[in-house]
Amino acid sequence: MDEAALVDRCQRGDAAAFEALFRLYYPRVLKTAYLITGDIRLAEDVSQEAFTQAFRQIGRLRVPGAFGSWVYRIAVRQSRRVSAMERKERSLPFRVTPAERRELGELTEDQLLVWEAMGSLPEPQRVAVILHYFHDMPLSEVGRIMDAPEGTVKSWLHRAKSSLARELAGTRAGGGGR
Amino acid sequence: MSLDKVIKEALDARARDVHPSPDEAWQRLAPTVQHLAANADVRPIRRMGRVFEVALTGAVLAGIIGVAAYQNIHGRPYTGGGTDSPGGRVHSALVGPAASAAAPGIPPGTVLPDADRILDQAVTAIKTLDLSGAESGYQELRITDPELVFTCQYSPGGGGQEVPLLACKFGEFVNTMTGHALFWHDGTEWQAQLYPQVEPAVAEERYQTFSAMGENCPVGCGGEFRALRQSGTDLLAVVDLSGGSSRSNEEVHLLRRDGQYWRLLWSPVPEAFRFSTSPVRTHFPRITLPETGVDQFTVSYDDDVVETWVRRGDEYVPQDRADQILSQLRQEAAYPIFVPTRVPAGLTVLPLSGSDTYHAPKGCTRHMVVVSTILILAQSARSTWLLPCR
Repeated sequence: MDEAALVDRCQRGDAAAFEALFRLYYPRVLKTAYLITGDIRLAEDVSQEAFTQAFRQIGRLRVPGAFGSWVYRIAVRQSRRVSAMERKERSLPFRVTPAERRELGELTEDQLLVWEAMGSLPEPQRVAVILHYFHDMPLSEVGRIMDAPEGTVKSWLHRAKSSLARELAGTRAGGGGR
Repeated sequence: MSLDKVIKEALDARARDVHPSPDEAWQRLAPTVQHLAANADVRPIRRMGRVFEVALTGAVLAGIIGVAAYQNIHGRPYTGGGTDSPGGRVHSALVGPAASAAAPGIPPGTVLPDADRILDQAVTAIKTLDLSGAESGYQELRITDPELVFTCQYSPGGGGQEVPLLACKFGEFVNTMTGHALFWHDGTEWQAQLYPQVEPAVAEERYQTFSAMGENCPVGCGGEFRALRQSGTDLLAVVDLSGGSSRSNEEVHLLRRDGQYWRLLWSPVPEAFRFSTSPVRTHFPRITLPETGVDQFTVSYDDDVVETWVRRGDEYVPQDRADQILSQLRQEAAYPIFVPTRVPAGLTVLPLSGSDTYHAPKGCTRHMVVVSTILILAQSARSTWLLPCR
Protein backbone atom coordinates (compact mmCIF):
# COMPACT_ATOMS: atom_id res chain seq x y z
CA MET A 1 0.00 0.00 0.00
CA ASP A 2 1.40 3.40 -0.89
CA GLU A 3 2.06 6.14 1.57
CA ALA A 4 -0.87 8.31 0.51
CA ALA A 5 -3.27 5.46 1.08
CA LEU A 6 -1.81 4.82 4.52
CA VAL A 7 -2.20 8.48 5.43
CA ASP A 8 -5.77 8.43 4.19
CA ARG A 9 -6.50 5.43 6.40
CA CYS A 10 -4.87 7.19 9.36
CA GLN A 11 -7.06 10.20 8.78
CA ARG A 12 -10.04 7.89 9.05
CA GLY A 13 -8.81 6.57 12.38
CA ASP A 14 -6.79 3.51 11.43
CA ALA A 15 -4.02 3.05 14.00
CA ALA A 16 -2.64 0.05 12.11
CA ALA A 17 -1.99 2.27 9.12
CA PHE A 18 -0.10 4.63 11.35
CA GLU A 19 2.04 1.76 12.59
CA ALA A 20 3.00 1.07 9.00
CA LEU A 21 3.99 4.69 8.50
CA PHE A 22 5.86 4.64 11.78
CA ARG A 23 7.90 1.61 10.78
CA LEU A 24 8.67 3.23 7.46
CA TYR A 25 9.95 6.50 8.86
CA TYR A 26 11.07 5.84 12.41
CA PRO A 27 14.67 4.85 11.60
CA ARG A 28 15.31 7.97 9.55
CA VAL A 29 13.57 10.22 12.05
CA LEU A 30 15.57 8.74 14.91
CA LYS A 31 18.84 9.21 13.07
CA THR A 32 17.94 12.77 12.17
CA ALA A 33 17.12 13.56 15.79
CA TYR A 34 20.35 11.94 16.88
CA LEU A 35 22.43 13.96 14.44
CA ILE A 36 20.80 17.17 15.67
CA THR A 37 20.90 16.48 19.37
CA GLY A 38 24.02 14.32 19.50
CA ASP A 39 22.37 12.20 22.19
CA ILE A 40 20.64 8.91 21.45
CA ARG A 41 18.35 9.04 24.47
CA LEU A 42 17.19 12.52 23.59
CA ALA A 43 16.75 11.38 20.02
CA GLU A 44 14.52 8.51 21.11
CA ASP A 45 12.37 10.85 23.19
CA VAL A 46 12.16 13.34 20.36
CA SER A 47 11.14 10.64 17.90
CA GLN A 48 8.41 9.36 20.17
CA GLU A 49 7.07 12.85 20.67
CA ALA A 50 7.29 13.63 16.97
CA PHE A 51 5.24 10.60 15.99
CA THR A 52 2.74 11.28 18.74
CA GLN A 53 2.28 14.79 17.40
CA ALA A 54 2.09 13.46 13.88
CA PHE A 55 -0.69 11.09 14.81
CA ARG A 56 -2.62 13.75 16.66
CA GLN A 57 -2.32 16.22 13.85
CA ILE A 58 -2.52 13.99 10.82
CA GLY A 59 -5.90 15.46 10.05
CA ARG A 60 -4.10 18.64 9.08
CA LEU A 61 -1.98 16.94 6.47
CA ARG A 62 -3.52 18.08 3.21
CA VAL A 63 -1.11 16.31 0.86
CA PRO A 64 -1.08 12.66 1.94
CA GLY A 65 2.00 11.94 -0.13
CA ALA A 66 3.98 14.48 1.88
CA PHE A 67 3.90 12.54 5.13
CA GLY A 68 7.65 11.94 5.10
CA SER A 69 8.76 15.52 4.85
CA TRP A 70 5.99 16.53 7.25
CA VAL A 71 7.11 14.15 9.98
CA TYR A 72 10.73 15.18 9.43
CA ARG A 73 9.65 18.74 9.93
CA ILE A 74 7.97 17.89 13.23
CA ALA A 75 11.00 15.90 14.35
CA VAL A 76 13.43 18.63 13.39
CA ARG A 77 11.46 21.21 15.33
CA GLN A 78 11.26 18.95 18.34
CA SER A 79 14.97 18.21 18.10
CA ARG A 80 15.83 21.88 17.90
CA ARG A 81 13.63 22.69 20.86
CA VAL A 82 15.05 19.90 22.99
CA SER A 83 18.56 20.62 21.83
CA ALA A 84 18.22 24.28 22.82
CA MET A 85 16.95 23.30 26.25
CA GLU A 86 19.67 20.74 26.80
CA ARG A 87 22.38 23.12 25.70
CA LYS A 88 21.40 25.38 28.55
CA GLU A 89 21.95 22.51 30.91
CA ARG A 90 25.09 20.94 29.54
CA SER A 91 27.20 20.51 26.46
CA LEU A 92 25.74 18.05 24.05
CA PRO A 93 28.03 15.09 23.42
CA PHE A 94 29.42 15.66 19.97
CA ARG A 95 32.88 14.82 21.22
CA VAL A 96 33.85 11.30 20.20
CA THR A 97 35.28 9.32 23.07
CA PRO A 98 38.37 7.17 22.57
CA ALA A 99 36.25 4.05 22.93
CA GLU A 100 33.86 5.28 20.27
CA ARG A 101 36.78 6.20 18.07
CA ARG A 102 37.94 2.59 18.13
CA GLU A 103 34.48 1.43 17.17
CA LEU A 104 34.31 3.98 14.39
CA GLY A 105 37.39 2.58 12.74
CA GLU A 106 35.92 3.15 9.34
CA LEU A 107 35.86 6.90 9.87
CA THR A 108 38.79 8.91 8.63
CA GLU A 109 40.38 11.52 10.84
CA ASP A 110 38.74 14.21 8.71
CA GLN A 111 35.33 12.66 9.19
CA LEU A 112 35.84 12.44 12.93
CA LEU A 113 36.92 16.05 13.00
CA VAL A 114 33.89 17.11 11.02
CA TRP A 115 31.56 15.34 13.42
CA GLU A 116 33.20 16.89 16.46
CA ALA A 117 33.22 20.32 14.86
CA MET A 118 29.52 19.95 14.13
CA GLY A 119 28.89 20.24 17.85
CA SER A 120 30.26 23.76 17.92
CA LEU A 121 28.35 25.02 14.90
CA PRO A 122 25.47 27.39 15.62
CA GLU A 123 22.34 25.33 15.79
CA PRO A 124 20.67 26.51 12.55
CA GLN A 125 23.86 25.83 10.61
CA ARG A 126 24.17 22.36 12.09
CA VAL A 127 20.57 21.48 11.28
CA ALA A 128 20.89 22.83 7.74
CA VAL A 129 24.02 20.73 7.19
CA ILE A 130 22.27 17.61 8.46
CA LEU A 131 19.20 18.08 6.32
CA HIS A 132 21.16 18.97 3.21
CA TYR A 133 23.92 16.38 3.44
CA PHE A 134 22.36 13.53 5.37
CA HIS A 135 18.93 13.74 3.79
CA ASP A 136 20.17 15.03 0.44
CA MET A 137 17.48 17.67 0.63
CA PRO A 138 17.56 20.58 -1.79
CA LEU A 139 17.93 24.01 -0.21
CA SER A 140 14.29 24.83 -0.85
CA GLU A 141 13.16 21.79 1.16
CA VAL A 142 15.59 22.57 3.97
CA GLY A 143 14.14 26.07 4.04
CA ARG A 144 10.59 24.77 4.26
CA ILE A 145 11.48 22.52 7.16
CA MET A 146 13.42 25.21 8.99
CA ASP A 147 10.99 28.02 8.20
CA ALA A 148 13.73 30.00 6.54
CA PRO A 149 14.20 31.48 3.07
CA GLU A 150 16.34 29.52 0.67
CA GLY A 151 18.93 32.30 0.67
CA THR A 152 19.27 32.05 4.42
CA VAL A 153 19.79 28.31 4.19
CA LYS A 154 22.43 28.86 1.55
CA SER A 155 24.17 31.32 3.84
CA TRP A 156 24.01 28.92 6.79
CA LEU A 157 25.54 26.14 4.73
CA HIS A 158 28.26 28.42 3.41
CA ARG A 159 29.21 29.55 6.90
CA ALA A 160 29.05 26.02 8.24
CA LYS A 161 31.33 24.73 5.54
CA SER A 162 33.75 27.59 6.12
CA SER A 163 33.88 26.78 9.82
CA LEU A 164 34.37 23.08 9.18
CA ALA A 165 37.05 23.78 6.58
CA ARG A 166 38.88 26.05 9.01
CA GLU A 167 38.69 23.37 11.66
CA LEU A 168 40.16 20.79 9.33
CA ALA A 169 42.86 23.12 8.06
CA GLY A 170 43.77 24.16 11.59
CA THR A 171 44.11 20.60 12.76
CA ARG A 172 46.21 19.63 9.78
CA ALA A 173 48.44 22.65 10.28
CA GLY A 174 48.81 21.70 13.92
CA GLY A 175 49.96 18.23 13.02
CA GLY A 176 46.55 16.68 13.00
CA GLY A 177 47.59 14.20 15.59
CA ARG A 178 45.11 12.72 17.95
CA MET B 1 38.29 14.23 -0.98
CA SER B 2 35.96 17.22 -1.21
CA LEU B 3 34.62 18.81 1.94
CA ASP B 4 31.06 18.05 0.80
CA LYS B 5 31.93 14.39 0.60
CA VAL B 6 33.68 14.40 3.98
CA ILE B 7 30.65 15.99 5.62
CA LYS B 8 28.22 13.56 4.05
CA GLU B 9 30.29 10.53 4.92
CA ALA B 10 30.82 11.72 8.48
CA LEU B 11 27.08 12.13 8.98
CA ASP B 12 26.30 8.82 7.32
CA ALA B 13 28.87 7.04 9.43
CA ARG B 14 27.64 8.62 12.65
CA ALA B 15 24.05 7.77 11.75
CA ARG B 16 25.05 4.17 11.11
CA ASP B 17 26.05 4.11 14.74
CA VAL B 18 22.37 4.44 15.61
CA HIS B 19 20.50 1.17 15.54
CA PRO B 20 16.80 1.89 15.54
CA SER B 21 14.50 -0.72 16.89
CA PRO B 22 11.10 0.06 15.40
CA ASP B 23 9.51 -2.88 17.22
CA GLU B 24 10.61 -1.66 20.61
CA ALA B 25 9.81 1.96 19.79
CA TRP B 26 6.36 1.03 18.52
CA GLN B 27 5.66 -0.88 21.71
CA ARG B 28 6.27 2.31 23.62
CA LEU B 29 4.22 4.45 21.27
CA ALA B 30 1.36 2.10 20.54
CA PRO B 31 -0.60 2.64 23.78
CA THR B 32 -0.66 6.39 23.16
CA VAL B 33 -1.73 5.98 19.56
CA GLN B 34 -4.36 3.44 20.43
CA HIS B 35 -5.65 5.65 23.21
CA LEU B 36 -5.87 8.61 20.88
CA ALA B 37 -7.51 6.57 18.17
CA ALA B 38 -10.06 5.16 20.58
CA ASN B 39 -10.84 8.22 22.64
CA ALA B 40 -10.02 11.39 20.87
CA ASP B 41 -10.30 10.08 17.32
CA VAL B 42 -7.45 10.35 14.97
CA ARG B 43 -8.38 13.76 13.74
CA PRO B 44 -8.20 15.84 16.90
CA ILE B 45 -7.50 18.98 14.97
CA ARG B 46 -10.59 18.67 12.87
CA ARG B 47 -12.71 17.62 15.78
CA MET B 48 -11.47 20.22 18.19
CA GLY B 49 -11.61 22.82 15.56
CA ARG B 50 -10.95 26.27 16.78
CA VAL B 51 -9.10 25.37 19.92
CA PHE B 52 -6.29 23.67 18.14
CA GLU B 53 -6.33 25.98 15.17
CA VAL B 54 -5.78 28.81 17.58
CA ALA B 55 -3.20 26.83 19.46
CA LEU B 56 -1.19 25.99 16.41
CA THR B 57 -1.45 29.46 15.01
CA GLY B 58 -0.14 30.72 18.29
CA ALA B 59 2.70 28.25 18.17
CA VAL B 60 3.75 29.33 14.75
CA LEU B 61 3.48 33.00 15.53
CA ALA B 62 5.38 32.70 18.72
CA GLY B 63 7.83 30.21 17.34
CA ILE B 64 7.32 28.17 20.42
CA ILE B 65 6.01 24.73 19.70
CA GLY B 66 3.87 23.36 22.43
CA VAL B 67 4.53 26.20 24.79
CA ALA B 68 2.60 28.86 23.02
CA ALA B 69 0.03 26.36 21.96
CA TYR B 70 -1.55 26.00 25.29
CA GLN B 71 -0.99 29.50 26.35
CA ASN B 72 -3.17 30.42 23.47
CA ILE B 73 -5.97 28.23 24.63
CA HIS B 74 -6.61 30.62 27.49
CA GLY B 75 -8.33 33.86 27.19
CA ARG B 76 -9.65 35.57 30.23
CA PRO B 77 -10.48 34.97 33.84
CA TYR B 78 -12.94 32.18 34.22
CA THR B 79 -16.50 33.36 34.45
CA GLY B 80 -18.30 30.07 34.48
CA GLY B 81 -20.12 28.52 37.38
CA GLY B 82 -22.39 31.48 37.81
CA THR B 83 -19.83 33.56 39.62
CA ASP B 84 -18.59 37.00 38.92
CA SER B 85 -14.98 37.75 38.30
CA PRO B 86 -13.22 41.03 37.89
CA GLY B 87 -12.14 40.21 34.35
CA GLY B 88 -10.64 42.65 31.98
CA ARG B 89 -7.54 44.55 32.91
CA VAL B 90 -4.26 42.86 32.95
CA HIS B 91 -5.68 39.57 34.01
CA SER B 92 -7.33 39.06 30.66
CA ALA B 93 -3.93 38.77 29.04
CA LEU B 94 -2.83 35.98 31.21
CA VAL B 95 0.22 33.86 30.69
CA GLY B 96 0.37 31.29 33.39
CA PRO B 97 1.89 31.60 36.75
CA ALA B 98 4.27 33.62 35.35
CA ALA B 99 2.02 36.11 34.97
CA SER B 100 4.69 37.01 36.70
CA ALA B 101 6.41 33.91 36.39
CA ALA B 102 5.96 30.57 35.07
CA ALA B 103 5.59 31.08 31.40
CA PRO B 104 7.87 33.91 30.55
CA GLY B 105 8.35 32.50 27.11
CA ILE B 106 5.06 33.95 26.03
CA PRO B 107 4.82 37.56 25.01
CA PRO B 108 2.82 39.53 27.56
CA GLY B 109 -0.58 40.38 26.30
CA THR B 110 -1.06 37.20 24.34
CA VAL B 111 -4.77 36.68 23.83
CA LEU B 112 -5.94 33.31 24.97
CA PRO B 113 -9.47 32.30 24.07
CA ASP B 114 -11.53 29.22 25.02
CA ALA B 115 -10.58 29.17 28.68
CA ASP B 116 -14.10 28.96 30.02
CA ARG B 117 -14.91 25.68 28.35
CA ILE B 118 -11.66 24.13 29.55
CA LEU B 119 -12.14 25.29 33.12
CA ASP B 120 -15.78 24.17 33.12
CA GLN B 121 -14.66 20.68 32.22
CA ALA B 122 -11.89 20.78 34.80
CA VAL B 123 -14.40 21.70 37.51
CA THR B 124 -16.52 18.73 36.46
CA ALA B 125 -13.44 16.52 36.71
CA ILE B 126 -12.53 17.90 40.13
CA LYS B 127 -15.95 16.95 41.43
CA THR B 128 -15.06 13.34 40.71
CA LEU B 129 -11.93 13.53 42.87
CA ASP B 130 -12.30 12.37 46.42
CA LEU B 131 -10.67 15.21 48.28
CA SER B 132 -12.43 14.64 51.57
CA GLY B 133 -9.73 14.21 54.12
CA ALA B 134 -7.02 14.64 51.50
CA GLU B 135 -3.83 16.26 52.69
CA SER B 136 -1.70 18.80 50.89
CA GLY B 137 0.01 17.34 47.87
CA TYR B 138 -0.16 16.27 44.26
CA GLN B 139 -3.42 15.68 42.42
CA GLU B 140 -4.02 14.98 38.75
CA LEU B 141 -7.06 15.26 36.54
CA ARG B 142 -7.89 14.99 32.86
CA ILE B 143 -10.46 16.37 30.51
CA THR B 144 -11.27 15.10 27.05
CA ASP B 145 -12.48 17.97 24.90
CA PRO B 146 -9.87 19.16 24.28
CA GLU B 147 -7.78 16.40 25.73
CA LEU B 148 -5.75 17.96 28.47
CA VAL B 149 -4.03 16.81 31.62
CA PHE B 150 -3.90 18.93 34.77
CA THR B 151 -1.19 18.38 37.36
CA CYS B 152 -1.97 20.15 40.57
CA GLN B 153 -0.97 20.91 44.10
CA TYR B 154 -3.81 20.64 46.58
CA SER B 155 -4.20 22.71 49.72
CA PRO B 156 -7.06 21.59 51.95
CA GLY B 157 -7.19 24.90 53.80
CA GLY B 158 -7.28 25.16 57.55
CA GLY B 159 -10.76 26.45 58.17
CA GLY B 160 -11.92 30.01 58.63
CA GLN B 161 -11.44 31.86 55.37
CA GLU B 162 -9.05 29.25 54.01
CA VAL B 163 -10.55 27.06 51.31
CA PRO B 164 -9.86 23.72 49.66
CA LEU B 165 -7.77 24.80 46.68
CA LEU B 166 -6.02 23.30 43.67
CA ALA B 167 -3.32 25.16 41.78
CA CYS B 168 -2.73 23.42 38.47
CA LYS B 169 -0.74 23.60 35.35
CA PHE B 170 -2.26 22.00 32.31
CA GLY B 171 -1.51 21.07 28.77
CA GLU B 172 -1.55 18.40 26.17
CA PHE B 173 1.41 16.42 27.44
CA VAL B 174 3.40 16.50 30.61
CA ASN B 175 6.26 18.23 28.84
CA THR B 176 4.11 20.78 27.08
CA MET B 177 2.02 21.97 29.98
CA THR B 178 1.96 25.67 29.98
CA GLY B 179 -1.50 26.71 31.13
CA HIS B 180 -2.13 27.49 34.77
CA ALA B 181 -5.31 27.76 36.78
CA LEU B 182 -6.72 27.92 40.28
CA PHE B 183 -9.72 25.94 41.53
CA TRP B 184 -11.24 26.39 44.98
CA HIS B 185 -14.35 25.40 46.86
CA ASP B 186 -16.15 28.41 48.25
CA GLY B 187 -18.27 26.36 50.63
CA THR B 188 -20.99 25.85 48.07
CA GLU B 189 -19.34 24.85 44.86
CA TRP B 190 -16.04 24.71 43.03
CA GLN B 191 -14.88 27.92 41.44
CA ALA B 192 -12.14 28.37 38.87
CA GLN B 193 -10.03 31.00 37.25
CA LEU B 194 -6.89 31.22 35.22
CA TYR B 195 -3.83 32.08 37.20
CA PRO B 196 -3.57 35.84 37.56
CA GLN B 197 -1.25 38.08 35.64
CA VAL B 198 1.01 40.74 36.99
CA GLU B 199 0.90 44.23 35.64
CA PRO B 200 2.06 44.51 32.04
CA ALA B 201 5.32 46.27 32.83
CA VAL B 202 6.53 43.50 35.10
CA ALA B 203 5.28 40.83 32.73
CA GLU B 204 7.17 42.49 29.93
CA GLU B 205 10.30 42.68 32.02
CA ARG B 206 10.08 39.05 32.94
CA TYR B 207 9.43 38.05 29.36
CA GLN B 208 12.44 39.96 28.15
CA THR B 209 14.63 38.46 30.85
CA PHE B 210 13.64 34.89 30.26
CA SER B 211 13.39 35.13 26.50
CA ALA B 212 16.95 36.37 26.36
CA MET B 213 18.02 33.01 27.67
CA GLY B 214 17.29 31.17 24.50
CA GLU B 215 14.79 30.49 21.83
CA ASN B 216 11.84 28.17 21.81
CA CYS B 217 11.40 27.22 25.40
CA PRO B 218 13.13 29.60 27.72
CA VAL B 219 13.54 28.68 31.31
CA GLY B 220 10.22 28.91 32.94
CA CYS B 221 7.91 27.46 30.40
CA GLY B 222 5.78 24.88 32.05
CA GLY B 223 6.30 26.27 35.52
CA GLU B 224 4.98 23.79 38.02
CA PHE B 225 3.32 24.36 41.36
CA ARG B 226 5.38 22.79 44.12
CA ALA B 227 3.76 23.94 47.33
CA LEU B 228 0.90 26.04 48.64
CA ARG B 229 0.28 27.70 51.97
CA GLN B 230 -2.86 29.60 52.95
CA SER B 231 -3.47 32.14 55.64
CA GLY B 232 -6.92 33.72 55.72
CA THR B 233 -7.57 34.85 52.18
CA ASP B 234 -3.87 34.95 51.31
CA LEU B 235 -2.10 32.22 49.39
CA LEU B 236 1.62 31.65 49.02
CA ALA B 237 2.44 29.52 45.95
CA VAL B 238 5.82 28.05 45.11
CA VAL B 239 6.38 27.66 41.37
CA ASP B 240 9.24 25.67 39.89
CA LEU B 241 10.46 27.22 36.66
CA SER B 242 12.99 24.55 35.84
CA GLY B 243 10.90 23.27 32.95
CA GLY B 244 11.37 19.64 33.78
CA SER B 245 15.01 19.85 34.71
CA SER B 246 16.09 17.75 37.64
CA ARG B 247 17.41 20.85 39.36
CA SER B 248 14.93 23.16 41.01
CA ASN B 249 14.46 26.72 39.94
CA GLU B 250 11.74 27.96 42.22
CA GLU B 251 10.14 31.24 43.05
CA VAL B 252 7.15 32.27 45.10
CA HIS B 253 3.98 34.27 44.55
CA LEU B 254 1.64 35.89 47.05
CA LEU B 255 -2.03 35.96 46.07
CA ARG B 256 -5.17 37.17 47.78
CA ARG B 257 -8.76 36.15 47.25
CA ASP B 258 -11.03 39.14 46.87
CA GLY B 259 -14.59 37.92 46.69
CA GLN B 260 -14.56 35.32 43.95
CA TYR B 261 -11.22 36.12 42.40
CA TRP B 262 -7.59 35.54 43.27
CA ARG B 263 -5.27 38.36 42.41
CA LEU B 264 -1.53 38.46 42.52
CA LEU B 265 -0.20 40.71 45.24
CA TRP B 266 3.50 40.05 44.87
CA SER B 267 6.01 38.09 42.90
CA PRO B 268 9.72 38.58 42.54
CA VAL B 269 10.92 40.93 39.88
CA PRO B 270 13.38 39.28 37.52
CA GLU B 271 16.50 40.24 39.39
CA ALA B 272 15.21 39.44 42.84
CA PHE B 273 16.31 35.84 42.88
CA ARG B 274 19.79 35.13 41.74
CA PHE B 275 18.83 32.55 39.14
CA SER B 276 16.98 35.09 37.11
CA THR B 277 20.01 37.17 36.40
CA SER B 278 22.18 34.74 34.56
CA PRO B 279 21.73 32.83 31.34
CA VAL B 280 23.26 29.92 33.16
CA ARG B 281 21.26 28.71 36.09
CA THR B 282 23.93 28.16 38.63
CA HIS B 283 22.26 28.59 41.95
CA PHE B 284 19.08 26.54 41.65
CA PRO B 285 16.90 28.10 44.32
CA ARG B 286 14.58 25.91 46.31
CA ILE B 287 11.83 27.50 48.38
CA THR B 288 10.73 26.28 51.78
CA LEU B 289 7.46 27.54 53.16
CA PRO B 290 6.80 27.80 56.88
CA GLU B 291 4.76 25.11 58.61
CA THR B 292 1.98 27.61 59.11
CA GLY B 293 1.21 31.08 57.93
CA VAL B 294 2.68 33.13 55.14
CA ASP B 295 4.89 35.50 57.10
CA GLN B 296 8.15 34.34 55.56
CA PHE B 297 9.87 31.79 53.40
CA THR B 298 13.42 30.67 52.87
CA VAL B 299 15.37 30.28 49.65
CA SER B 300 18.13 27.68 49.65
CA TYR B 301 20.68 27.71 46.87
CA ASP B 302 22.89 24.84 45.85
CA ASP B 303 25.97 26.60 47.16
CA ASP B 304 24.50 26.41 50.66
CA VAL B 305 23.47 30.03 50.81
CA VAL B 306 20.13 30.40 52.51
CA GLU B 307 18.09 33.56 52.32
CA THR B 308 15.14 34.33 54.54
CA TRP B 309 12.52 36.53 52.98
CA VAL B 310 10.14 38.16 55.42
CA ARG B 311 6.80 39.72 54.78
CA ARG B 312 6.49 43.49 54.90
CA GLY B 313 2.89 44.42 54.14
CA ASP B 314 1.94 42.85 50.87
CA GLU B 315 5.45 42.03 49.74
CA TYR B 316 8.47 40.06 50.87
CA VAL B 317 11.94 41.41 51.37
CA PRO B 318 15.16 39.55 52.09
CA GLN B 319 16.14 39.67 55.69
CA ASP B 320 19.19 41.79 55.91
CA ARG B 321 21.87 39.36 56.90
CA ALA B 322 24.50 42.00 56.32
CA ASP B 323 23.14 43.93 59.25
CA GLN B 324 23.48 40.91 61.47
CA ILE B 325 27.01 40.16 60.33
CA LEU B 326 28.25 43.71 60.52
CA SER B 327 26.70 44.17 63.90
CA GLN B 328 28.70 41.22 65.12
CA LEU B 329 31.87 42.55 63.50
CA ARG B 330 31.38 45.95 65.07
CA GLN B 331 31.26 44.37 68.46
CA GLU B 332 34.56 42.63 67.81
CA ALA B 333 36.37 45.40 65.96
CA ALA B 334 38.89 47.75 67.46
CA TYR B 335 38.36 50.19 64.63
CA PRO B 336 35.20 51.60 63.14
CA ILE B 337 33.69 49.55 60.42
CA PHE B 338 32.56 51.38 57.37
CA VAL B 339 29.81 50.05 55.26
CA PRO B 340 29.68 51.43 51.77
CA THR B 341 26.25 50.07 51.04
CA ARG B 342 23.58 47.91 52.50
CA VAL B 343 23.61 44.29 51.54
CA PRO B 344 20.15 42.85 51.64
CA ALA B 345 20.63 39.21 50.99
CA GLY B 346 22.68 36.08 51.06
CA LEU B 347 26.03 36.92 52.50
CA THR B 348 28.78 34.60 53.46
CA VAL B 349 31.83 35.74 55.31
CA LEU B 350 35.30 34.89 54.10
CA PRO B 351 38.60 36.05 55.61
CA LEU B 352 40.75 38.22 53.39
CA SER B 353 44.28 38.42 54.66
CA GLY B 354 46.98 40.96 53.90
CA SER B 355 44.79 43.99 53.46
CA ASP B 356 44.16 46.83 55.80
CA THR B 357 41.97 48.89 53.56
CA TYR B 358 38.58 48.49 52.14
CA HIS B 359 36.55 49.96 49.41
CA ALA B 360 33.33 49.32 47.67
CA PRO B 361 33.94 48.14 44.16
CA LYS B 362 33.13 50.60 41.48
CA GLY B 363 29.48 50.61 40.61
CA CYS B 364 28.34 48.86 43.76
CA THR B 365 24.72 49.73 44.26
CA ARG B 366 22.00 48.24 46.34
CA HIS B 367 20.39 46.88 43.21
CA MET B 368 23.57 45.22 42.08
CA VAL B 369 24.25 43.82 45.47
CA VAL B 370 21.29 41.58 45.00
CA VAL B 371 22.32 40.28 41.66
CA SER B 372 26.05 39.92 41.48
CA THR B 373 29.17 39.18 43.41
CA ILE B 374 30.34 42.58 44.31
CA LEU B 375 32.00 43.12 47.58
CA ILE B 376 31.79 44.89 50.79
CA LEU B 377 34.90 44.97 52.89
CA ALA B 378 34.72 45.51 56.56
CA GLN B 379 37.77 45.94 58.71
CA SER B 380 38.11 44.41 62.10
CA ALA B 381 40.95 44.51 64.57
CA ARG B 382 42.25 41.10 63.56
CA SER B 383 41.51 40.85 59.91
CA THR B 384 39.74 42.30 56.97
CA TRP B 385 36.58 40.59 56.02
CA LEU B 386 35.34 40.04 52.57
CA LEU B 387 31.60 39.84 52.30
CA PRO B 388 30.54 38.66 48.90
CA CYS B 389 27.10 39.79 47.95
CA ARG B 390 24.92 37.09 46.56
